[in-house]
Amino acid sequence: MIEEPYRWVEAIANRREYIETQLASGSPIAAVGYRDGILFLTLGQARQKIFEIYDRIAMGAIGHPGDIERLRMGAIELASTEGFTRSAADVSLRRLAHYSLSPVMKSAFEQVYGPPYLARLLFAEIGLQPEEHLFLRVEYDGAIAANGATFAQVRQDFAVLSGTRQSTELMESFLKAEHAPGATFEAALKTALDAWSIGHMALQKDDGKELPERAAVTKHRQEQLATTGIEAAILERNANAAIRFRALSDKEARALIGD
Amino acid sequence: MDKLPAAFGQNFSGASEDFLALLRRKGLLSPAATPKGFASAENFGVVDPTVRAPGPREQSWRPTEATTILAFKFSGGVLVAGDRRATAGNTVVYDRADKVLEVDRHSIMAIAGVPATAWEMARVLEHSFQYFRRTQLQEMSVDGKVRALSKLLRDNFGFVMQGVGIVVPLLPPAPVRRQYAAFSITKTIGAKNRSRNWTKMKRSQSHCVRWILRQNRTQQQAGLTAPGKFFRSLKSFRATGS
Repeated sequence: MIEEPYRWVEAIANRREYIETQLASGSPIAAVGYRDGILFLTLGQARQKIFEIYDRIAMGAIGHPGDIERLRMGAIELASTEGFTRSAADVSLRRLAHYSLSPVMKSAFEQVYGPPYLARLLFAEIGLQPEEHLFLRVEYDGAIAANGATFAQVRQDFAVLSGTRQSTELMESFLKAEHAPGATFEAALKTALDAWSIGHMALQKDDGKELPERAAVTKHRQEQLATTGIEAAILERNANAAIRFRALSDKEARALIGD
Repeated sequence: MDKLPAAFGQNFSGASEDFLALLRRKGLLSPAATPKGFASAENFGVVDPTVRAPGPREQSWRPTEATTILAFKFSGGVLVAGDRRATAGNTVVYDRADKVLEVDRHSIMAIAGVPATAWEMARVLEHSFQYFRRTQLQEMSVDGKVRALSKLLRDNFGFVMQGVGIVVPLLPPAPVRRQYAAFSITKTIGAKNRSRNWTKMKRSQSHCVRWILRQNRTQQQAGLTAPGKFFRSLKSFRATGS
């Protein structure tokens, strides 16, 4: 029955709807470039959502913890074996996502009798220059969104991940307007926090197509900060060590925000 | 990333798999030589001191001078230093060889013996520790690190018996949580020895070095900082002309 093309398309559509519903409550993650690196930020610490993949690659994820873990292990395995057999300089996020993760996630999604990956991933890789920052969002169906310049878009120094398309778009339009490349760390941290708040507000009500008022964002941010923890990590460009990833503690991040 | 994986080929107890097992599964680790090559040692022109085969070569064998490494614990951490000379027979091949290697932020490995084997071991260890830390989201314990090294040495034993891969590493990993550091001299087969405050390593005549270090300790060199004491030890060791 499922072999008929129409049935297959229908099954895929159902599956997509099911996954979207499952992912809809995922707390947003914002990744923004700043003068000396890339900052990952999210709120809520039920479980860790920002991870180190390799020396210069970090990952943020929402979805089912089991699926996130399988994908994270797969990514670390591939990066580590590549880094061991060749060199750390040969590990590239572009190849990792395009040649390994995306095909695996696509085929899991399209094999209707097997389980798909209930996860959405956001990767960032730090380059030698701010212009070389690479951000990739890999969807559950293997689709990849990159920060590179296309015919309709200039190159962006940020990327976001959220539970719904609407929330993602609002966060992106906020960052497009507010985030300046080459921002200081403190400025990037505040912008990322505001972007998170906007994304989080959009998850709670589905009507808004437009950015909320400034005051409402600040209010929401303060409310959330009072009750939830900050999870943040940075990839530092000028670190002397090969490993550029560093997790920031809640305390450290709060001291820098100053509220 | 050579080929498109249809799936990651993970085993689902993946959490407990170590990096060596991963390399073996992917066929990326060169298999250790088996000790059957005893007879071929002579073909290599290398004489294995453990093989008492009669022949003219045995007379020509004498213990050669080799790397000296010293390691101390002091209030600020652990200090490891060694010479940098690489030799082949009686020829100096290279005078800037790296024998004190950073394995990760908390451990250093110093080496004596065949550099190629030793550097490869350091590389495997470095990747193993990072792989563990990244996948398990916690640092590997000191005992775990020492165990990883002894496993590597045991795998290398076949080469040791062939006389082409003797390595004597010294690994002082600093524990992340506890307050002391431990030194491990791991012998070529993988047995580990620990010392509390100082240790030394040399491929020959190590009893002599140990004696010098004891002397220094008992002399209570007041006013000398740890690095000062350290280099004095190194000098007096050199002065014995051993």
